[in-house]
Amino acid sequence: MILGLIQSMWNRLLGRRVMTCREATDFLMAYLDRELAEPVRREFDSHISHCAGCKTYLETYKKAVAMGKSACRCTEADAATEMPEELVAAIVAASRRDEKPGTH
Amino acid sequence: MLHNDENARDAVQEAFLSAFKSIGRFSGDSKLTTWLHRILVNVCLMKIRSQSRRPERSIEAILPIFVESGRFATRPSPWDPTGPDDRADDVRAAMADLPEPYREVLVLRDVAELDTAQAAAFLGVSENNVKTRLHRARLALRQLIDERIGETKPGKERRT
Repeated sequence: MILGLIQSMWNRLLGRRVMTCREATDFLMAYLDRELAEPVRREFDSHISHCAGCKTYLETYKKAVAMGKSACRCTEADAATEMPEELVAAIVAASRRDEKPGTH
Repeated sequence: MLHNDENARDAVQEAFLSAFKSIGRFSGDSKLTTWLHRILVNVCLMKIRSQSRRPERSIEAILPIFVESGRFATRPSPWDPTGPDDRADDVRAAMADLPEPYREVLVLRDVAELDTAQAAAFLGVSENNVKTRLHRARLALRQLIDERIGETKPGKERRT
């Protein structure tokens, strides 16, 4: 973290662009999906290494996504009583046939 | 999800009705049960939302705030590592509080597990639009969960 701070100050002294918390937040999803271009990813890593707020934000963001995914997931008990895919397909096919004009 | 058999039965009935009405939108790219699950989750979240006493907020009012220099207006605080895992009710309520276009894309991508292209085709929007909306939905979900955690922390004042 101290190294990151020194690096950040050094970058500023050299007039290099330094990523802000707002920009880091904008890049979060692309970063986690490994879609950031290499120079931007390096800038992101550098920012996260010296910004405690963004480090915390990244961790809680990842946790929120995981919690959202699991909160509405079917449990094994639900899956056991799930309607067979073939039955659902048959009902839908029948419903589509009924919708066609002239088939009544 | 709804903690009540009667509510759950109502939700399933509503979901099936909704599914039959919108059967034309089913493209066949995903499993039918996935498609029905998505509709059922949406119905449940809308039911949770209808029971909420919290006012509706725009996405801008939920997203993190930054000062002019680009720093966070309020420094994010870490979550208790032993706490949030057992908060499914809070998480569902937080999802229900998302504005509809953001809840929709979050359910499609993170719950029904459609990929970006499938979600874009389903919604009739571009893949970039799905990515942007999903990112904002996840940021907002993080914020809403954070607020609920802040509210229930013992001896801690609610953060703004």
